[in-house]
Amino acid sequence: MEFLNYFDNVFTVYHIALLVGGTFAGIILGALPGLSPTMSVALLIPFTFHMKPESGLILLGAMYTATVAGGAISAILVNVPGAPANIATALDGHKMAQSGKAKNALHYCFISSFVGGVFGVFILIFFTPPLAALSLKFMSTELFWVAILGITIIATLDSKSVIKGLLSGLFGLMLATIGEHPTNAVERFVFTDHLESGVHIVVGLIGLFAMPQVWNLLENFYAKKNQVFSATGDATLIQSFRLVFSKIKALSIGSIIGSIIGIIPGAGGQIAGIVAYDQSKKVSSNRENYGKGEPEAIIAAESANNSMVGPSLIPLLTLSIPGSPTAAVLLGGLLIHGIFPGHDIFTKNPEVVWTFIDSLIIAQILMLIIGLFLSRHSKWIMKVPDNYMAVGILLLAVFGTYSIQNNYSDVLIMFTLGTLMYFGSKAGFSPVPVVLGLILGTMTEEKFLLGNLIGNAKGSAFQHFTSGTINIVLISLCIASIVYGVYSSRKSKKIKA
Amino acid sequence: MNSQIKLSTVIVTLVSAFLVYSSFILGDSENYLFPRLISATIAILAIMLWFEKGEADKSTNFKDLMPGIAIASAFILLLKILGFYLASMIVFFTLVMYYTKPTESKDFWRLLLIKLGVTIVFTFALYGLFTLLLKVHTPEGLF
Amino acid sequence: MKIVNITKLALLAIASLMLMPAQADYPEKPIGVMVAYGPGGATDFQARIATLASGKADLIGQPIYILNKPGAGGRTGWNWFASEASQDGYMLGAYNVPHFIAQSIVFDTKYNIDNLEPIGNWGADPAVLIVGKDSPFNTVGELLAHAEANPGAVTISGAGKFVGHHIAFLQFAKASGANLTYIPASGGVDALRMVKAGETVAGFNNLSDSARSAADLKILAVADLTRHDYLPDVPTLMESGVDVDDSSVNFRGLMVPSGTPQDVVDYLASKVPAMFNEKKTQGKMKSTNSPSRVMSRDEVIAMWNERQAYLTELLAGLK
Repeated sequence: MEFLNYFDNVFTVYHIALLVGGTFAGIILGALPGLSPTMSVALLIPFTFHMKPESGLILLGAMYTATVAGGAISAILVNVPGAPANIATALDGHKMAQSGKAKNALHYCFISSFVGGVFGVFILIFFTPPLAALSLKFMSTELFWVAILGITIIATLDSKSVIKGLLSGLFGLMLATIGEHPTNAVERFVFTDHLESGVHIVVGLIGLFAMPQVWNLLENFYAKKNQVFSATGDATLIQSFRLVFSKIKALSIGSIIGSIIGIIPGAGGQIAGIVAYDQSKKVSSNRENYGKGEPEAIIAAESANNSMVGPSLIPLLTLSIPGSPTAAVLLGGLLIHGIFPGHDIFTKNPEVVWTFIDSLIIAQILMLIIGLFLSRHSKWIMKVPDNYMAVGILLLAVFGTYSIQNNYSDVLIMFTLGTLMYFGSKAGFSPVPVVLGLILGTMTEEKFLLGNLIGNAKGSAFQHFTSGTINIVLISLCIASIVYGVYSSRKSKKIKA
Repeated sequence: MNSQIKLSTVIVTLVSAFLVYSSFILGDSENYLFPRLISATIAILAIMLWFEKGEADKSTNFKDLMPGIAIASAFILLLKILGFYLASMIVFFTLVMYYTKPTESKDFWRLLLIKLGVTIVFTFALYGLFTLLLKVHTPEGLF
Repeated sequence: MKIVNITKLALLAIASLMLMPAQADYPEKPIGVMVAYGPGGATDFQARIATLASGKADLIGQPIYILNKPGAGGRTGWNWFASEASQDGYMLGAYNVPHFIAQSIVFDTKYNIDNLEPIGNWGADPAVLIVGKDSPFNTVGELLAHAEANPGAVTISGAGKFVGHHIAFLQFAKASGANLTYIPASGGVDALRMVKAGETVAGFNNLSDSARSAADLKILAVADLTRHDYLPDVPTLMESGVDVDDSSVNFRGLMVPSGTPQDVVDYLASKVPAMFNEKKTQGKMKSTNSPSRVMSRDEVIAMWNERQAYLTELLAGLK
């Protein structure tokens, strides 16, 4: 219970001010496309330069927590996820907003983010040593199977046709192969210099979601009647709390899956929301309503996103191995203050580390309060006229894209890809599997090649990929996921027939 | 089955064929193992899609969409010449002026002033947030 | 393409002529430093620390800001720097030797040591040979004996191809004559993870990062000419009987694109080493475990030329 001793350090006027400011700014930044958690934390590091280590970390931690939740606001209100983590939230969240229940969707999102977030921080507080050891067991072959597991859910994710879902996913995988080869450093498919650095995940995300939204608003500008908002859709706060806590199954699936994915080193954090969405769909009794505005879907996805935050710091703090892209940037933030992650960090710098962890809990509470407060005003965003909304999204998308790598080519890629996607969506293709393919593509190929190299050096690559407890568990999960996918699509076809 | 899906099937198959072809020209095969696997699967699925009984795709209202795409494309190209903020102002104003609903104010000059005002406020808000506060770099041009 | 370049050059020549009279006032606005890697990485945060003092009147006299242009292992940023960055001294670049030199030899890049002008060097991070803490090997000799008995079975991780770690590996394999397998991870952090987890038998990694993780690792040798202050007990590879010099040491410093007016280059070259040596900056370098090595422009020119010649020879068979 050592963590209880350091709350004093958090409750200073200065630190509370930092937390409130960081959380508020984080929610806003998270909601802007392109300013993903990773980007926001990176932007903030220079600001923390002249602060004391614990103050700097408190600000970074608040930012990390809040941006992950903030990304859901734009996902729900305008169908543009703020970060890859919020893709799953857009699926049902925006459907709810379209039917006039934006406020409810935001309530569910912030309440479940809070529950998941606090769960994740407690995992960090109580289970760091055993989970750090587990995290090290995820090597190239295990990470390869994690990526494959992600790919198995692509087909059934968000498309009425399995073939179209698979095609979209493969298109995403193909996009991921543009640019530098993951292990040999040679360039592939670089037909013009603009493609040299490949398709960045967040650039792809903005293009695939934001641009279609812009075109959609403009195309239907004259045809669409002014949206009518029914007050009946607005539940009270207490009703929202009640609803979220009655969905224990979705909440616990989200929190547990998010925590597990958080400790897996590398790009894992980005798929926490989508994996939790998929799993909760499989066991939910409201399965048929997923994709049509199902609260359970939002609850599972958002609790997973935020529960990922705490555990992603476990390998970071004790092994210097980040559990998510944002944690990787946070590592730089730690080093710049002379805090060196390692097994001894809790004994060498207890003051800094425990103050940081405690502040994460406070940040979750603040995130909940500020988020619920902002939800009350969400109707203002919904009331923005379509022409202003379209150009606003366009400018933010261009700006956000450029700021990721300060690269004009990214803007061209974003614009082209998004426009293609818009016409693709007319033919029934969905952007969600494309983004998932883009995220998993590099991971799959890189881990396969590395595992292969290491396996060959050990004797047999095949044996290397198929031995070890975690590998066998993951392979079984992959098979189960495929079998379930085939079974459920057959079943739904029968119902239709 | 309808024309747009057929068209996309043809395009997808051709693109994957081109990628496989270029991978043989561009470099040694070892580096292209993955892309080839993917494009082969894409080609097979595209053919399957040809025979799938899908729902009709949505029609596109090009009359209202195309001007928007044209203005936005001009903006993307202007970015590098004029810089982010000036180009933003121009595209913002042009788009909201072009897309005006008949129900909006009848007085043209009043409408123009309002939209000009919103344009300036929005651009300065972006400038304040991004350049002054976050110290992020935007595409630089002449200004 | 050629014609465009010539026109560009002509325009730039005219532009720089027009700028001539104004140069007396250089610098009159903040100066950028392009970093070819993402924020939070070692090059990024060391660049931020090294340029902390630039605003002081007796140093450069203007603050420095960082512009990250990551992508394709640094190539995106350096290509931009050599072909598009302004040549008026208001956009400097951070270099990583041997990375950018090796890339310019192996790949078709827009940059090479001839179109870049070094200003000064702030840091030097040697590669070290590491094994996991539970590894049976305690010396370079034991590792090599194992490699001899099991050809190809000794896997060594590093932060990708054509970076310092890879150069160190190539030199190590060549000098020892052993049959070793290089595992190019997607970055230094991932390469370190492989060694800590026991996924690879050994690894070449940054001295600074490895020294920080000393509890999870055994550091067998340093790929440099002398032992390092941070690790006084660790021998060099030469001491361990493998003839590997300091060609893989990761040098970091500042440069400008060729075409920058000579008086601007001279001005920067005269001030930058003092900026790196400033007391607070050095203190911060030390507290963040960033190995500092300040070198003047002339010393860096010599080092670049030496690396260029050596790496051309070493990488000849790998194109």
